[in-house]
Amino acid sequence: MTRPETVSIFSNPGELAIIVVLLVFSGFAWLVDAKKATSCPEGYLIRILTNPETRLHFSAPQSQPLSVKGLAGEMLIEWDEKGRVRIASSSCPCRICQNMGWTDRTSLVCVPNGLILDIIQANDDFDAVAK
Amino acid sequence: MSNKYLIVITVFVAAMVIGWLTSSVSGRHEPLVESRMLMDTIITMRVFPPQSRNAVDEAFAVFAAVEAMASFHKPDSELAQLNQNRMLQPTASFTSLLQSAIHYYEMTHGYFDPSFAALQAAYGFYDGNPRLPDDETLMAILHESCSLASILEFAAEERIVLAEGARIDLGGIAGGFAIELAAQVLRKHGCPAFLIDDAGDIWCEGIKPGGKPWRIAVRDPRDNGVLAVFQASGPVAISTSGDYERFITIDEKRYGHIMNPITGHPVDYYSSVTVVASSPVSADALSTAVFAMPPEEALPWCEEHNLPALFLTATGAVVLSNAAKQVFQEVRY
Repeated sequence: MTRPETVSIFSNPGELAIIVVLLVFSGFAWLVDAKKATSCPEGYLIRILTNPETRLHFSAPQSQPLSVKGLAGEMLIEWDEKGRVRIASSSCPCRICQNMGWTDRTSLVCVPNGLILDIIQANDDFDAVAK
Repeated sequence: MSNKYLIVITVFVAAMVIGWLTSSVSGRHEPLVESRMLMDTIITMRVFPPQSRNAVDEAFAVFAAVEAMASFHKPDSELAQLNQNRMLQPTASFTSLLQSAIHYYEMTHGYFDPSFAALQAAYGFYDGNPRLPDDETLMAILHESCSLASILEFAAEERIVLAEGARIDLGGIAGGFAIELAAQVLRKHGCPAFLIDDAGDIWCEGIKPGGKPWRIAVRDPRDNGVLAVFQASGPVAISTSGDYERFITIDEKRYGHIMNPITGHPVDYYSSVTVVASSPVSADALSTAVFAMPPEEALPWCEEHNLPALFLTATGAVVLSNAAKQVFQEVRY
């Protein structure tokens, strides 16, 4: 019985190492790419349901209160040093949004102003909030 | 160039192409997310695939149609016409919505009752003038204008007749009704996975690309944190009733909009009640009904119906029905 002949296209271990390095690199690149593609950037996403929708994204808490114009008038959005956010004042008649107070996880909504404020966290993403 | 290096380059390029295709098929599948103001609130849809523009437009049109039919405030809606004229020749869709409301009224022994609108009106929920009616007034309203099954009559010639003094607000069920119809539209268009969020009353179905379940937080009204987490891979509804959004304030005391069917007073047993159910209408109606039940009735009722219910009591205790222990995670006791 003759032993099957093995054919190696690489004459030295260095060439094989190059292949391995390239494959590892490309795999890493896919992971980074897929992660970027599936995740919204972390931070605070403010949407106002104008037509077209107005979107404001902040990657970090803002040191100064932010004034935004909703469908019913002006609103003031405020952050604290812990990264929590609240609707400090609102022109809406019911002020439900203002009464919601500070949050660092769940969304804030003002219906009359058509405003949705989502907090986006990399490893703690929710598709919706039952409330 | 030697064959060896040609092979190396070929393998690398092939790997990159395969990787790009893989991430295109799975990783890049973000849903189409759209929010619109309808039915006096904000409706959000998350729909896969992201190219479902026509389906989403059609699904939102369903909400607009249900609003036009069942709005309490729009004077030309079928509901407003019934409240005003005491008589209506309804569309089949409106009859179906009313029959659904009666079903849940009977199932919950009157704890879900859209005719409590008469009580809410007495407290000033509709006219922006909060007030506390006396017990005599409340008893008169309860006896003459409430109890959905007795104030509605399905009369001859397919007419509905509403008792004098009564009024109906279908806000506790119309959202769920619209979600059901919108879900049918998305299914008809072949959308494999979607979530419909009607101001926190949620329906989701299908599995997201990558096999991830839908992840839903239950809001903790004490600090806007997360009271519990609910994950769903199949079609399911989750709905919360609370006293922290729709209320009136008199002498610095808060009064919620969900009423006790015996006393006519706003109930104050819980801060929130969250239920999981197999249909959006069911979740919508049952969260309201269970919120109205006193604790000694609520938990046994949920156990009898195997209803997953998560209670945050007015004193801050967290209580789960047996079925809820199976479905809620990361509960914050």
